Amino acid sequence: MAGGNAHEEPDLVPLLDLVLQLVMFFMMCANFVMEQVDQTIKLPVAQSAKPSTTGTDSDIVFLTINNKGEMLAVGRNHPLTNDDEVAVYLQGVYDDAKRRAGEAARKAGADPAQAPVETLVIIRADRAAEYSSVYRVMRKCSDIGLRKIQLRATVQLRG
Amino acid sequence: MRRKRKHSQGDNAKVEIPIPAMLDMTFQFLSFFILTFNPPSVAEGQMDMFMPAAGQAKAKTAEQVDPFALSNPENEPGVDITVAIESRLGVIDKLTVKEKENSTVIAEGNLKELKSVLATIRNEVGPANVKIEADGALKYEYLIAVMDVCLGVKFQSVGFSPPPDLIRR
Repeated sequence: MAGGNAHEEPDLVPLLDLVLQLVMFFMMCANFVMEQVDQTIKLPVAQSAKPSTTGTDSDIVFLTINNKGEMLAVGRNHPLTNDDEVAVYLQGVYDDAKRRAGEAARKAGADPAQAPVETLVIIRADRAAEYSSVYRVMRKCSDIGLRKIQLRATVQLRG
Repeated sequence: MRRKRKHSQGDNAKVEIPIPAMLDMTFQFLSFFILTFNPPSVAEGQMDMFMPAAGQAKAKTAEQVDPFALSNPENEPGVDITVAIESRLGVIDKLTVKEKENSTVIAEGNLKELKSVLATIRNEVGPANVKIEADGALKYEYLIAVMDVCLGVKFQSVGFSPPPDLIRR
């Protein structure tokens, strides 16, 4: 037994571990959000925009269209300026999604060739972009096989 | 030549890591990240839409994709109402609501009037799909404003047609 004069210090090491883990969590979240959601894009405002329900879905592709009509994609440093670049990028996205869907179907004992591609394409276009630029991307997504498309807008509360 | 380390407190001195100082600093980092953590996705909302399917289900290669190919009407979901938007300089010049043989022209892009026309049609026809047919020069902001009106009067879904001016080109 320790005597009455024993100087007991709290063990701060586990607390430090915990706080460092929290710091890492916030740093990683901030990075992911910054990469997917370009802050320079000014989204249009809409009252009927529903709160996003796709936060945890991993099979999502964010496509950003800036005010010049150029498409920005995650992992690409430069905007995709012409139709061919956009088509090649989207074809790559589709092929990856098809491969993943095929692997999942194979594990489940189903036919990999019949596995549907469930990738959700989220288009974040700047309010100053022209409709032709946005339509071009939507049409290409649809034609390549990425049929689940969603637009993003800033939610404006009614009243 | 080997140097001997000098130990002022002897070899048995215990090296202490200043845990409280590190903890203070880490708490400051944590406070910073918590205070600056403002995910924009919280302020963002989703707007569901449909794309009329093209006649060809899927292009064989990327080169074959024609972004302005007309869709095959047989593959489209039933579109009951079309909202045509004419635009030259990016803003709405003229709105036309087409429902079967009827068409209503709304001048100067008056969205309140559009809402009232669409609400009347919605009450008459019930749940229906709307297709927006806008000129390519229209700014996305105005397109979303029209889509917002369509969804606001509780139409089932909203789709988009190719810009007519680009098809003509």
